[in-house]
Formats: sequence, C-alpha cells, structure tokens
Amino acid sequence: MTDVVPSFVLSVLEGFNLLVLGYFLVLNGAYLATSLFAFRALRRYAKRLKAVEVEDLLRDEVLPPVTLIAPAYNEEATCVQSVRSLLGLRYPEYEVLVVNDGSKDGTLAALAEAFDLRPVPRAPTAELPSKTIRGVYRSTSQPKLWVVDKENGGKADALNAGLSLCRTPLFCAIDVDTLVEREALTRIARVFLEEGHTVAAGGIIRIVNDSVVQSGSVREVRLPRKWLARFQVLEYLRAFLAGRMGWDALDATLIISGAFGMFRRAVVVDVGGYATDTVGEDMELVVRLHRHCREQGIRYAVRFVPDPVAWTECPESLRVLGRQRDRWQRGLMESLWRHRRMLFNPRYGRVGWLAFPYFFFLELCGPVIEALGYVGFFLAVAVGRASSTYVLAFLALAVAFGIALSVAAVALEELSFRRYPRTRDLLALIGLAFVETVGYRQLSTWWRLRGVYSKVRGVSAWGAMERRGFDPKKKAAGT
Amino acid sequence: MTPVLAPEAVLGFVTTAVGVLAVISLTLALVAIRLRLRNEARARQLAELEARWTPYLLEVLEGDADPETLHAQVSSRDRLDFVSFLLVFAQRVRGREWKLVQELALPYLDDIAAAARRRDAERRARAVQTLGELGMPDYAPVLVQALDDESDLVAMVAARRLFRPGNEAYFPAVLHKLDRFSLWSQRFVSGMLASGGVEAVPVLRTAIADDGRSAPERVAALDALRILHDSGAADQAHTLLSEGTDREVRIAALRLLEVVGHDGYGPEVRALLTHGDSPTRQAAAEALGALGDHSDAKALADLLDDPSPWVRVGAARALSALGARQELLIAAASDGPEGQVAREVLGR
Repeated sequence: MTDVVPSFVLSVLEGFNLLVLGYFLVLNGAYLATSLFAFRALRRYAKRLKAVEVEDLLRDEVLPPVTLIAPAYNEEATCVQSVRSLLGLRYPEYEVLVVNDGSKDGTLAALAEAFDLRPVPRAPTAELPSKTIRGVYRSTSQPKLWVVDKENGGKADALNAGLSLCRTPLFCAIDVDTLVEREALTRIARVFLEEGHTVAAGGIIRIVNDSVVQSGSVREVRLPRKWLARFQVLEYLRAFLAGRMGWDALDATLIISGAFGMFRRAVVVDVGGYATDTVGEDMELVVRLHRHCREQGIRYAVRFVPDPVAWTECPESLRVLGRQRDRWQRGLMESLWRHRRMLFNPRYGRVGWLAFPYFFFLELCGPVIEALGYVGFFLAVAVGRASSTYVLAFLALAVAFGIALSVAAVALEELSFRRYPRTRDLLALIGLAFVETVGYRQLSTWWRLRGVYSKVRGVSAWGAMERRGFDPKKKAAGT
Repeated sequence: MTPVLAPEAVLGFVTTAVGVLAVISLTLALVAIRLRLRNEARARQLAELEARWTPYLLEVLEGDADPETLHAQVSSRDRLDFVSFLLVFAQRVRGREWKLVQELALPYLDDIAAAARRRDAERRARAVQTLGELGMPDYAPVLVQALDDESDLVAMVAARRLFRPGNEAYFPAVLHKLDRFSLWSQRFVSGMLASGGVEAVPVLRTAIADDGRSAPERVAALDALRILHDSGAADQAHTLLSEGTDREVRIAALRLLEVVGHDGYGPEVRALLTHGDSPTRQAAAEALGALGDHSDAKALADLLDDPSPWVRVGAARALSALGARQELLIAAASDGPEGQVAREVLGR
C-alpha cells in the first residue's frame, strides 16, 4: 500500500506519529512528576497538620473574618438545605452571602420563607461591574445570612455582585449546591495565616453521589453506585491529590475550583473581580492574579490545600457530563488564550515557564493531538508504516501509564486522608484504575475535543446541569 | 512491509516499559491495600490502649489511684502513644487535673525531647508542641532553643507555646525573635502575642516604644495590646500618630485608641480625618466614633461622601456610635453614596 501513497505524505504521517509519541511521553512524564511531588508534599502536609492543629487556631481566635459568596440560579429544590449547611460551619466570624442570580424558579421565595428575610440597605465597598441588584435581604433568624437578589448575568456576574458588598478581608467563592465540611473554612484559612502573603487558596472537591448525607453534612462516605460517577471519583482523586498537590509543591498552582476557593478580597477587587465573558471564570481569575502580582512586583502565593473538603454531586449521564467537560475545555482555552503572553515569559517565573506551557500544550492542545494520534496510528498501520503489533504495544504502554497514575492517586488517598472507610470501596477504586483507561479516557478526550470545536464555533453557553439533590427522601422518591 | 515507525529495539523498549509500569501499578495497589490494613490495625491498637488507660487515668485524676498504677500499664513500646494520649487529655482539662496530666507525662518526655532534634522539621515541630503542652517549665530550654530552629514552623510552634500565661520569663526571648515570623500573617502573630495575657503587657509596651523594631513587629504588638484592652498603652499609641510614623503603625495605633482611648486624644485623631491616605482616614473616623463627642459629627458627616467606600462606611458607623442621628438622616435623603451608607447604618 506504501506504493500508492506519495512519499511526502508518508513522511508527514511518520513525523506526526513521532510528535504524538513525544506528546504522550511528555504528558505522562508530567503526570508522573506531579504525582511524585504530591507524594512528598502530602506526607509533609499530614505531619504539619499535627504541629499546628485546627483546634488551636479555633481556640486562639486568630482566624480572619470571611464572607462566603454563593451564587444561586434556579436552586429552589436544594438552596435551603445547602444554606443551612453553610450556616453550621465551625468558624469564628463569617457571613453567608447568597446571590440569587435572577432565578426563574422560587429560589428567593424559598430562602425568604425558610430564613425570614427582610429587605435591608447595604452599601457597596467596591465598584465591580454586575447586572442590577434588585435588593439586599438579611435573615432575622440567622444574622449571618444575607441574600442579594439581582438580574441574571451568570455566575461570574453574581460573584462580582457579592464581592462588591463584601466587607471582610477574605472571601470564599462556593457553589450553593456544594456541601462544605464543617471545619473546611478553618482548614483553608490557615494557609492565609501561615503565609501572610497568600492571595488565593483552593480546597479539594470530592464526589458525594450515593454517600449518606444528613442535615447538610456527609455522614458516611461511599463510592457511587453508577460507573460513570465512580470514574469521576478516580478522576478527581488524580486531578486534586496527584495533580494540584504536585503543582502546589512546585509553587505553580494555576487552577482553583470555582466550587470552593478562598481569596484575599482586596487583591481580587484590584484586578477587577471575575471576568464575565468566559465560562472558565475560576481559572481565569487565578491566572490574572498571578499575572497582576508578578507584573506589579507583589509578593504573593496561590495555594492548593488538600484537606478542606467540599462535596459536590457529579453528573451521572453521558450527556450532562459531556456538556460539563465541553465547558471546562472552553474555559481552559479562554483563560490560556487571554493570557498567552505569559507563555514561556520569564517575567512570570515558574508559572510562565512550567505551569502555563503544561496547560497550553498538554491540556489545551492535548485532546486534538490525542484524537489525531489515534487516527495517525491507524493510518500508519493501514499504509504499512507500522505493524498492528507495534501499535498495540504503544496502546498497551498508554494504558499501563494510565493505570499506574490512577493507582498512584488511590495510594496517595490511602496515604493521606483515607476518606473511603469501606475496604470494598478501596478495592473498587483500585479495580476502577485498571478499567478506566480504556473507554472512559477516550470518551473524555472526545468531550474535550468537542469543547475545542465549540470554542472555535464561538459557543459561549454554560450548559444546564441536572442534580438529584442530597436529600435521601427525595432521592428515594426519584425527584 | 517493513515497519519504519517501530523497529525491534523500540518494540523491546515499549514492552519492557509496559512490564515495568504493570509491576509499578501492582506494587502501588498492594501498597494501598497494605496501608489500609496497617492503618486499621493501628486504629484498633490505639483504641485498645485508650480503653485500657482511660479508667486508670480517671482514677488518678480523682485521687483514687497513684500515677504508678497507670504507668504500670504502659509498656516501653507504647511510650509515645501514651504521651499522645495524655496530650489530647491535657487540652481538655485545666488547673489541678492539667498539672496531674503533666506529671503523668514527665517520665516519658525525654523521648519527645530526642524527637525535637530529628531532621524532619514537621516532627520537630510536633515534639516542640508536645513539650510545650506537657513539659513546661522543665523542658523550656528545649523550646527556647527551638526559637532558633532553621524551620520557621518549629520556631513559631515554640513561640506559641512559650508565649502563654505563666511563662513570663520567656516572653523577652520570643519578642527578641519576632522578626522571624514575617512570613506568618499579622493577625496570627498578634493573636500569639495576645495569648500571653496581661503578663505580656510590659514587654509588648516596650516593643511598641522600640524604634529599632520593624513596622510589622510594632503593629503586631499594638494589635496584641488592643486585644488585651490595655488602657495603659494609650499614651504610647497617641505618640505614634505623628506624621513621621509608619503608615501601618499609625493605623494600628488608631485601632488601639478606638478601644482604649479617651477624648484627650481627640485633637490628634481629628487631624487625621483629612489625611491623604484613605485607610488612615477610615481608622481615624472609627476611633473618633469611640472617643469623640457630638461636636465631631460635622467632620464625620463630611467623610460620608469620601472617595473611599471604606472611609464612608467607617464615618457612618462612627456617626451612629456618637448618636448623630440627625446628620445620618440628612445624608440618607441623598441618592449618592453617602445616602447608601447612611441608610445602611439607620437600617432603612
């Protein structure tokens, strides 16, 4: 067959396949390196926790006041339970500011009824762009709770509205449908104490599907029953414990999840708040903070903290999960493209030299290279430039790498926090690592590739998420 | 058909790599399982030890048994676990019971002191924390030495344990090393200094008067005195309001005067209402709200349309504290920013 294919095409094909191999080796090498850094960092962190205990911090009243800003859009079914959980956190001084982002359902009414809201004036302390605020309410039964009612403008717009009304030195951006553990605020705030120049810190997001939730807190952690959700548990362990922990050890954290992150209010206001023209407002803000602090010569730190946990419900259908990953890929592309001048720019230190190139070439271009790689390899076999044995050998290598990295993430979990107490769940996680690399990984690549295509087409939609809610009674009733 | 992409050598390499990765995966899986089994066994062991020790400990605390009866239950293998067990208890009790727990721990603390010399900074910090909780004053020299530890974490843990009521002798040593803690947040350092209680007041006053100290150190001392409500420091704070003082020190002095000042300091505080730095104006307004009188209402009302929202909020709160309702009502009628803050304070 090589006789009928022009030689330059064969050369291009061969060159491309080598590029894919190079990509594959660098990507897995990077994963391996972050896992190794994470291993060391997690061990140190676990020991450090014993030296400065959370109870000590709570007792000594050294924790700074915090405002939790929770945007809510059409959350009528879950908002009351979620807000109750937020009001029960163990933290000396904090406010909860729920921003009703023009919900079309009865979110505001549900909150008003449950918490006896009364309209109150509240003057802004920053001028950040956001849609019109229709009213500010305060709970008479829970003085810590404020609700801002505004016209719909999206999550970033709602966060900006909340930030404009924030009075505390730190604020915590959280998703209202996220269950934050009782001590999570204390645990995340401690990095702001231990490194006074910290401007942002992210906690770990874990998956709550099928765990036992009572009164707004997770009573018993269980692995989800559905395979798709189980794969995501493994994916989150890999992303947070091996990935973000490793990047934190390298002092190059570029992502803080929008579901749970704490920030220094003044610095975020200085950079203009959240960008409202991207679906990846969480990553974009962190990249902008890096850029701002580096350009202004401000001493700063952006941290990932592995033990403050926020539990979230993950998608259980391919359609919704695909939509989520499509959005994540678009957000990643928008953030990196907007700040592309940081790429290999020595002015931005490790972020410019290490983290940015990693995300730019491996995470942004990754799905395109990976998808074309599959095509290229099979073409090489078809035209006789590679035998199927070799292609299978390389695929086996990819699978083996994937398994090793996933098992390493499970081992890191067992080494550090052991949040899955049932031994059968641990065994299931190990088993999942052997299964996940074939099928789920390719699906994930497909969704990310679709995200690239959506971005090229100019799609800017958020994409609706479907949630079952945490209430076991409602779950049982199938609502 | 000659495969160009993957010669024999590459195939051999790939096959070997797959084999190595498979071995690594299996090893890691076994490590995870072994960790689980080991942790579960350890948890069971600790639970058994606690179940064995707790009744004896309660008897000792109630005076129904001698410490030796409890010590007899501690094998040499379990010494460190016993100290950890006592440490948890020590954090729950006070007074005589706390002293008893300390005495129970004393025979085992040499092992902990040895751990304070280990290479691992986190372990040293843990050892210093334990000695600070259970081994004072006998092991105070170890903690004082830890203030010079190469790790900031160890030094801070030592400082936090030394700066506690009853340890006044070591307060100057901690203050001498205060510049070591510049990495930690101001609030954390202030909290640590305030935890020394009223016994810490003399050394803190000395620190704020010391021009040789850095601004962050003086701010930490001023904030600690504010937390301790030390009215005796008001005069010193007052002298720090002059123009030559560092901005952060001046603001910390205003915050202290807000809590412990009196109207005698009014003129200097009033002069700062028109300062070019907005955080200074805000702090001055808030201080005046506490130590001023109704004659300050006009000057504070003028700040309600200050360019800085923080100054506006500070001025509105100060007016409210002075009971200047009329000024607030006039401002509340405005549609501008002054109206917003006035309405907020008035709650309408």
